[in-house]
Amino acid sequence: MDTFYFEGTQFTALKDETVLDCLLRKGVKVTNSCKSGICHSCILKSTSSLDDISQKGLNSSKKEAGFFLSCQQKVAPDLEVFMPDSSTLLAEGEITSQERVTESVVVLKIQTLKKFPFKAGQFTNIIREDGVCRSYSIASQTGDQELEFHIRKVPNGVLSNWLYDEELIGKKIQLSEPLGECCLNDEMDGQDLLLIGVGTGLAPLYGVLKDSISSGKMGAIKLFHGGLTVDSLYMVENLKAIDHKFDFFSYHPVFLKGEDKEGFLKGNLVDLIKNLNFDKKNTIVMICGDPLIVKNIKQSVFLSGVPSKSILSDPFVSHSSN
Amino acid sequence: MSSLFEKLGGEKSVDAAVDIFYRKVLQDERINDFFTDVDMDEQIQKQKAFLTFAFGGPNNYSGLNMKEAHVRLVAKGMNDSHVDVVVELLGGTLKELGVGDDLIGEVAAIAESVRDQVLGRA
Repeated sequence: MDTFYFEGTQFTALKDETVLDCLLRKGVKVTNSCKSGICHSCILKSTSSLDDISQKGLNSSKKEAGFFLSCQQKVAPDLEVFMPDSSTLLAEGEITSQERVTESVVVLKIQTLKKFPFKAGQFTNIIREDGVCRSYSIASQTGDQELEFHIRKVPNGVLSNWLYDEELIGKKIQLSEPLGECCLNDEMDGQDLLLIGVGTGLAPLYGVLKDSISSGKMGAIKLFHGGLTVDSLYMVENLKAIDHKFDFFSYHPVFLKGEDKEGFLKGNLVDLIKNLNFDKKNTIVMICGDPLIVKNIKQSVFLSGVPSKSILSDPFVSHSSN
Repeated sequence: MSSLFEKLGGEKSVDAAVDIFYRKVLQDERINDFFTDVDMDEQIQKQKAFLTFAFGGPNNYSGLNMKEAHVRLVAKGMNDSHVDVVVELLGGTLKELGVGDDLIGEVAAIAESVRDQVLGRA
């Protein structure tokens, strides 16, 4: 049986237990969300040697400082673990706008109270006062300090229901350091962009779109936004207006179920993309939203001849509750 | 005398080969069941490591993690016939890139050298 120390107190772990699971089982409050090593919300600090996997994706200064993902670190004998100083990892923000755009999606704006550097396309964790925390993509343009989020209310989703249902203007929340690679970089200049968002997977792409428009460095941009029904699609008028304004941009709302409607494509997004004609060698493809649809589209786009390095994605992994 | 890895064009050729090779793997019905469920980004990284190894390049792949990495696949029924297909597709990839038969033979021999570890026999 392995034991380790958390803030000087000894804990005994079950076989193969992670530091996070053991602490949670013993009633210690540790912020966490995905439990897959993606969201980085369960970061703790250690002075002991750590498994490589528990520092995967951290930048080198964090690694050197002993930060690690407690959901990925198996308990090892005599591991010494500490709570990190949250002021170094988190930024405070205030909710300034809360617009319910469909029956289940709310567009939230949060003013950051200190400088919050991020790149369009990244995600952050929104952390409520009581420590409940979930990852959401930022829909703002690089450099904005009022951050926009598109949040879908999920069944039994503690945070998403709160964010949709309650009146929260003026409420303070905390944000973790932004993460994610679904971003533009200089090497992509001049290429076309194919943006494919499912549901609130539109959010990171909306930020990337705004970046591309203001930089003027990308070629033709196509945005496909998929939803189950016409009513589940949001920001339609806004995106149509952008489509009218710029020749290089086209917007394609797609729905699966319901009667045909003018201005919308009806069909399966995966098949639609499979049959789409575009310059395979000269297009950056970004795919965000439901993990299964993202995986399928990614594979078909790759098989159609798009180089793997030109395909970026952000599968929205659900919170793990077990 | 330059090494096999240098003769093949080093890291650049690994980058060129990985997309061709992985497309072949995903489309080959004899083996794609083992691969279609796996995350593409992770797979590309793994394929790159494998190709670097097979090209005689610097690698961090020990026999032990070759074995561990494939335990789940062996349990799913992976056997010699599937390894044969991988070696075949590897050869096809190199041919497409214009690599000569003698070098393809050397690459295949390196890939063969881990067959037993991959299948959990060593």
